[in-house]
Amino acid sequence: MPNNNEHIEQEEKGMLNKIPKQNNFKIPSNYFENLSEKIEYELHLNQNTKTNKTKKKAIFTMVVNLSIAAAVVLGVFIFKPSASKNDDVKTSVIVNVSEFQDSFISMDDLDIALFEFDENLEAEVATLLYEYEFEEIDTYSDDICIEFDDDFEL
Amino acid sequence: MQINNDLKIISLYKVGKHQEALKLLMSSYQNRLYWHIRRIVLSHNDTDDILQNTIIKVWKGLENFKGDSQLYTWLFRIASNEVFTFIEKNKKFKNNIDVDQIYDISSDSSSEDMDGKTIQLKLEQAIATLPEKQRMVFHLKYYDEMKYSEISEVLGTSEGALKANYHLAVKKIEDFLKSN
Repeated sequence: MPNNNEHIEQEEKGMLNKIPKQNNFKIPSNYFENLSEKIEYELHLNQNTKTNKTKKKAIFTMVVNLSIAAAVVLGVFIFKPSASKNDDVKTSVIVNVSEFQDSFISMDDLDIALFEFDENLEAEVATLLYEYEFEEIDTYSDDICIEFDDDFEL
Repeated sequence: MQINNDLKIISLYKVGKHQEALKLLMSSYQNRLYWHIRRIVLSHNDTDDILQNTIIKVWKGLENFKGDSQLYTWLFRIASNEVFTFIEKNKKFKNNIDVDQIYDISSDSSSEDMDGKTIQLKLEQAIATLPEKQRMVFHLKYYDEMKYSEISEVLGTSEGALKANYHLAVKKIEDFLKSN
């Protein structure tokens, strides 16, 4: 298909062809010689900046995480009173249970222990009762005698 | 030659010879990209910034370059986008730059050179009056001698619209030159 604008283009091209295509804009000397190095430096610089940015980001994340952890720890210490009692109770219960479990003894052992305990106790109680009884009675009789001695002469 | 260089740049990059790839990329395109940008933004410093941004973007995107389009048109597309972004950010830039100040008409030139340079200066002044996108179409067609299909890839505009744009641009330039 023929291009409809071709004749216009040819006409315009003819007119513009009278003017030579030249660049007369002012440009710094050695600009293109230095441009390649400049861009190369810029690209490496960008990479360094990127690395620095990544490092900074990692450090920032670490600092934020540490701050959160510190805040949590502080929060636990500061707001302890209400929660701490419960925690203590829970803790003591746990300890008691564990102690109980650790000191658990079989029924046979328990019988022997009770038996031994009863024997000793019986002896001790008997001694104490005897002494107490003797002293009491003794004291009681003496007291009565003294009391009656004052009022009555036997 | 150009396609060979493009393939070489991509293969060098992919095998990890980044420095060589960058050098080849720069030697193949730095001049053309510079003038593509410079003719639109006019200031050298702005061109330098845009060109560096363009090459850095190209470099970062090279890893994901699928080869759906030619490397050459892809480079120009990125450069054009950077130019339009720059223009959007600096709406007032057009009024701040005078073509006469950045155009080199040295007094030690011969009279013939002076005449040629004066005509070119007039042409640059005429081009500077065009809207940015029209100016870009004109440059890509007239100076870079790109095909409409390639310009279409670079600017994402249909070939018909590009032809109309170019025709309008030439008409305006002609009118400017006649009146000056």
